Amino acid sequence: MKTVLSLILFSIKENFKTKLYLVLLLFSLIMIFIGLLLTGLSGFEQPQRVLVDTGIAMIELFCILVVLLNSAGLLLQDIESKSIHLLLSKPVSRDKYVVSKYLGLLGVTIINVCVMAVFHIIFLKISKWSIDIGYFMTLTTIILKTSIITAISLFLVLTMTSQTAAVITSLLLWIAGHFLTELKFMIDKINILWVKILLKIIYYLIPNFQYFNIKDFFEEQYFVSQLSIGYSILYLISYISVLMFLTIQIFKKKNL
Amino acid sequence: MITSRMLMDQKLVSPFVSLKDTKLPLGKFFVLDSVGIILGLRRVVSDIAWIQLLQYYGSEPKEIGEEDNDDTHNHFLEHMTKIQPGKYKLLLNYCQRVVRLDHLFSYVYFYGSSALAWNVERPDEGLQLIEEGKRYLEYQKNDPNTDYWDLIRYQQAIYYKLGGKYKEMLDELKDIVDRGKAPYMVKAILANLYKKFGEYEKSLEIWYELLYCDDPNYVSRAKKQITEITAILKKNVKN
Repeated sequence: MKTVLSLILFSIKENFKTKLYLVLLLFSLIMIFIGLLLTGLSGFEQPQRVLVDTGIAMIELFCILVVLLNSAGLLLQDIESKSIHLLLSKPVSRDKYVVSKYLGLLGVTIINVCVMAVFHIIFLKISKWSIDIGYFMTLTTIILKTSIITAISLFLVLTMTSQTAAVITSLLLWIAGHFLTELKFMIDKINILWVKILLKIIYYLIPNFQYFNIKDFFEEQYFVSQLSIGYSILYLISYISVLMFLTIQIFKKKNL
Repeated sequence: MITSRMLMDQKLVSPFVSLKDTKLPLGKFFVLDSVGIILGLRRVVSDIAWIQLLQYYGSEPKEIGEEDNDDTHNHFLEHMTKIQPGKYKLLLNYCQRVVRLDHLFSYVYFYGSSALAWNVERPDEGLQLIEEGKRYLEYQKNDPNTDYWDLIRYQQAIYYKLGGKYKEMLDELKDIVDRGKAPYMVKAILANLYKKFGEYEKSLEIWYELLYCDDPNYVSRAKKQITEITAILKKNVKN
């Protein structure tokens, strides 16, 4: 347990050390500031909504970019620089290494969300606007969505061994995960059996990010109340567990 | 994993209608709008669309192809309560674009339908926007204090206008304003209509309310209108 904790901390430190991280953080803070400018453009017609929405969207985009680029980059960097041999020497096993990499990235996501949310809340408070429980629920769901895409990204990095391919595929899955309502509509309409089955398999393999995308309707209690926290957590845990299991199996078979 | 997914599918009620039923009305923004939808950023893109709507409605009307005699500088402040029949041809499309991105953006239904019905004198388009809003907000039907029922009030007011029942229309608009969710523009419309129908005291009352609002455009308009109406009232007393 102590080893895993040290590895998680090491992974978090590694993430923060990258120049890319600082560039992205700066970019996101600028984007939240641009949200303020957009708020100015909306004049006195719904300015609070504009500032809240832009901030939340920037927090999510920043988390996704950091996770996609860092998960691919840092893992391959460890392999290429051979530093992984030092880490994998006893008592760190391969599965512990993968799990701690994942938890490290998740830790970075949580820290990112908190730091950016503080900046965002300061902007909101300066503008004398209040925030409610829906805001914090939205931030939580951003972390949950990011936890799935992190697992996907790690899995793809080890499967594809190309950083670019892994990042692009993860990004495409991120997009597809927000588009499954349309895919379901297609499945219902298509009459060719094998296409229907194929699409259904794809439908169940791609994570449905709409379950966690409450930032698009967090002010509407009716829809928020329709979401089942229990099922969401169950889905999240099962999806991540399957992916982590596969990732560990691939990593174990990898000839480093 | 699949079981939990199936259970979630059964439980999840999406507030958004499938894309087959919601054609994006303005082709020139198609890329931006589509990116918003596929990245799960509907709200933030609808906010951008909302700003673009405000910019469109706040700019010089060009679509009509006729000379605009208004002073360009003052136009920006004046457009919101000015009757401009036939102008801003794409106003309905701009409103539809925002609400098709975010069906729950109720303020746009209120703002857009009022502007269409009373400012640009196209009540049929106002009704069209309200109908769309009613479809998207139908889940609120069981609660009388929701935006769905406010939309019904706007619809009613527009029907009274079409039927020439101006007294009833004013009463309905007064009810909308009293409920507190109306945009400043609707208040200004009501104040202008009161003035038009000779009910100066009621008009003055609304302008005084707008005098203390947080929008400087309406504050300056309120100052101007208060001076004007007070002068009319004084003149009437003398006569």
